[in-house]
Amino acid sequence: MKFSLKLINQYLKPKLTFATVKKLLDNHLFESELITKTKDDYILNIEILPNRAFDLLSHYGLARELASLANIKTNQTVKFIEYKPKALIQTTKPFIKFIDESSNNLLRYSYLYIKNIKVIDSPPQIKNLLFSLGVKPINLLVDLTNLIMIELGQPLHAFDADAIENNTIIVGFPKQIEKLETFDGQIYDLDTSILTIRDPVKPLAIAGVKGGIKSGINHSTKNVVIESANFSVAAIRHTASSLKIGSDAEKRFKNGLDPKLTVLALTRFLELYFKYAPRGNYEFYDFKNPSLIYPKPKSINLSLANINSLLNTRLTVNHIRKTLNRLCFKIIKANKENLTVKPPYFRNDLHNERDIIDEIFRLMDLQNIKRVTYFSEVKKPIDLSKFKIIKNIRKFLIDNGFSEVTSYSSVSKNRLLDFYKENQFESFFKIKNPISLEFEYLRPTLYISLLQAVLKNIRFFDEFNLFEIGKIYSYDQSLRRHPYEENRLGLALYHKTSDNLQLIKMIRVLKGLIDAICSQWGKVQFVYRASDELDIYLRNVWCGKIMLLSSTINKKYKILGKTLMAELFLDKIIMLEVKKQKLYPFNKFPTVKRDLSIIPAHFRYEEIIKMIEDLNLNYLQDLQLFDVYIDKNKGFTSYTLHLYFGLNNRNVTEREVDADFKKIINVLQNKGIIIR
Amino acid sequence: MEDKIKNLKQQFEKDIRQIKDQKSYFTVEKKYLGRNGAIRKLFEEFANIDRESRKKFGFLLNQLKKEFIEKLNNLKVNFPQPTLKADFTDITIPPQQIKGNFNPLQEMIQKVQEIFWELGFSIYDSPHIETDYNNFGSLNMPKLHPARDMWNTFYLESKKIQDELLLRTHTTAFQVPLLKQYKPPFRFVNIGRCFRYEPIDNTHNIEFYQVDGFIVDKNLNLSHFLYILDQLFQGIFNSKIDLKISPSYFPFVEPGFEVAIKNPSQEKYLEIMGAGFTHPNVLKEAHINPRIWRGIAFGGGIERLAMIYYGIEDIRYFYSQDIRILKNIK
Repeated sequence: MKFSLKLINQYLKPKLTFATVKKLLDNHLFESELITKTKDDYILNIEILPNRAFDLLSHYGLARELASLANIKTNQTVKFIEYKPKALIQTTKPFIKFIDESSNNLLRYSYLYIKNIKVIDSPPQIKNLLFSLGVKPINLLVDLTNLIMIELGQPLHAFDADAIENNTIIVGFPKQIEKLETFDGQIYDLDTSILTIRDPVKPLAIAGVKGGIKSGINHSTKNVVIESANFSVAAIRHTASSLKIGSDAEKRFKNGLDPKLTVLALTRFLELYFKYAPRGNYEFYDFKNPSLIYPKPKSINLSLANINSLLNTRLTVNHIRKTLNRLCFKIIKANKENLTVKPPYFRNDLHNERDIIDEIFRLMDLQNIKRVTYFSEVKKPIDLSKFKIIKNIRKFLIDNGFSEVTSYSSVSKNRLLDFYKENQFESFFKIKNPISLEFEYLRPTLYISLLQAVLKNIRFFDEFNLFEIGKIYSYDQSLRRHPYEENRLGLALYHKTSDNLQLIKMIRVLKGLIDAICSQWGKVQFVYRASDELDIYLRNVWCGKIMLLSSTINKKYKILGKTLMAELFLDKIIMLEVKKQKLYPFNKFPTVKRDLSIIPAHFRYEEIIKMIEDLNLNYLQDLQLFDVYIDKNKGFTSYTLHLYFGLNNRNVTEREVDADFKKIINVLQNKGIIIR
Repeated sequence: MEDKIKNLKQQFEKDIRQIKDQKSYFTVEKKYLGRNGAIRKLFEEFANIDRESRKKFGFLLNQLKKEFIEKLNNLKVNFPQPTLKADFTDITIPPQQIKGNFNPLQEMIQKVQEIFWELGFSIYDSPHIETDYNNFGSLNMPKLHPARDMWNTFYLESKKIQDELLLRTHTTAFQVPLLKQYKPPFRFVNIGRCFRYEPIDNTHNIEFYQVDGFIVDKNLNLSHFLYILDQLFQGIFNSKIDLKISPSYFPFVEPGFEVAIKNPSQEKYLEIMGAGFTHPNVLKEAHINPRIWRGIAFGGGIERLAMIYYGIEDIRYFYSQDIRILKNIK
């Protein structure tokens, strides 16, 4: 909220300087910022946090607080000039009748009825003040309602009395949906849950938030009603959230207001109004809801030992007593160890001992707190080594040429459609109030983020590798009730090439990296799912997948190169037990190496290997892919394998190797595989 | 003038016969055609002669220049090309770029985790999707509490789950569930992504990372608290850090304060964290007796730390997915 130092000083004697005020605010209350300095005033913005919204959203309240702070923290004695006007006299037969139909959502309704007014401009000093506080001056009546809200914190509203049907004001709810155009030209649909100010036929205003345009003040207004009311916090909050509407008045009502202020504000209104406009006749009426008793501060017990042990101080009862006194507390009882105190009526944020310690805390010299080494044996409940594993994976990937991206968890519907069909959306989370359609769904896969990242970098690099560690979200597939979140590692490899040989290299690299990442848990199995998809298993647990970006997506985004992506389910992998490693017996005798070059026909590599393994050969000990060759002219791919033959207890003979080798060739040739 | 041209021509013929290699070639080229070469000098003399002869000699000189260039060019083709020996290895070729690039945000997360680990904290990963109770209710903010306005929340469309689900607005949402799980004393920290409905600009983002740490122990006091904070920031920035606290308000702590830091090279203090003594109501919510146990809690944005540490001015850079930006962190 914006504050004028001049207006604050209206309530202080002697006046405080800007420097003193700024220091007191920053060190002992809330953050403040100087907005402008004029000839004779300073305009400050002070962030009033919710705990003090009740008493500090006004110049009057802030001045009272500053007087207390100055008395405690400076050498000055500053007096707070309380506003104590003469009481207004209530009319017995009001011209404007009042009916409460609010079902206890109204605490108090006070109003003035002023006859034969003239709509005139405000004097320049009021105009200037409002202007510097960010309020647009309109006319004297409206300006005074705004000024008094700024001064005292009580919102006022001016109605054109002749627009009120039957001279009757009702605070209540619409019987059916009604439309209301507010003074700023917005039209709202008010349902039966919205508290309104109304006459017997129509709504006049949204209670505590905004007035309607038809009952507003204009140049031909002759008679006015000045409303000064206090509504329940629940009603105002409901209105604000269901209509998505806010105002300066709403801000004050939703944090609660002292019901005493309604009459005070009207008195102040008359005082100022008749200062600038000719004196005329007025009526005053005040309705208090008899069934609502506004909570009053209760007394609180304090223990000196608790205060000192939390703040690590050596304060005395006397010191605390003096400090609280100046903050307008009543000291009810005090001995050497304990105090009983009662907070002032204008504070609604103090309920227990800790609240009072907070008051003492904020008045301490916070810049010079001594440090004491804290040490205590705390056994860690479990060694959650997740962050260490992630640290190692990050380092491994970065060291191997991968760049780390961070993406938004929320994605657009269009991006989801790249990987899912609309009937799968059931199991995804949709944000009810997205900031834009770009961030509407929670990603169920990192593929979406990786593709986005690939598209961003394609313009600048011919070749790159990316990774991201992040969460994915979906409804639990089995239970369908609980949200499911999982940390995943996403990998993407891109190369601007149309060459399949390059792609094969990329696949081998990717598989090799995944193998290395997972090696501490066991041997990774890559299981064929479709011609462009693989599943990754670790100890028979499904732990990830690999995919080749489809030609549909390539076409859609005009991607010319090859893109390969993988997703590892980190949370699942981390849950696996780390494999116990040991030394296995190794072959001390030399092995014999044979090369085999094949054109695999329509078989996949893993199928060919299976054919060889199924032979259960005596001497074949190891088999490795050595080279892949693609003949573009003739249109075939060929693999060259290194086959290693041997025995653990003696040298293997040429004849034995030949026999095994022949068996391999036979089985392959029988299946139609060409040996080169 | 005519003689001079003639002499120069003769001299040039003689000189080019001496050219044997690249080096002598360049010497001759420089001598005649260079910036301070002979031809240029003749052109300069030229300015002083009369108009008639200027025309004549101008033509001659230009022709001479052309001739020189031509002759020199012819020679160039005939130089023997230097050859590399077959077994020659040039060890001066540059290294292959093997290393990739880290994301400064993730790097800072890791750094903060490591420091907390060394300070004896257990590190937790916590859910992003939360209930209203965990995010607000358990933290001393029942429905209608005015402090709820401090966080603008994203809600999820309900799928007939009892509780309304939301995206947590702070990592503190996991505090009570964690407190309920274990018996004090303990030290926990949880770091993760949070979500707030806020217009995106260079210091605000709808998604961001937060760290939330807390200690529950007997007799914890303000001096211990500041000791821990000192340790934390010195660890992150590897240097002595000035720390300033000023009163503030968060519903789940009391007293609550704002922590601002300044390293010696900076002029201004920068707000970095909210902190305070765990509110007794929060401890009660987790069935911990606030008469026996005291909690301290603190939390802040990781982006802000990373922005200060790496000198990054726009929070959106972290989420840009742009390798060019990552490459420029050196």
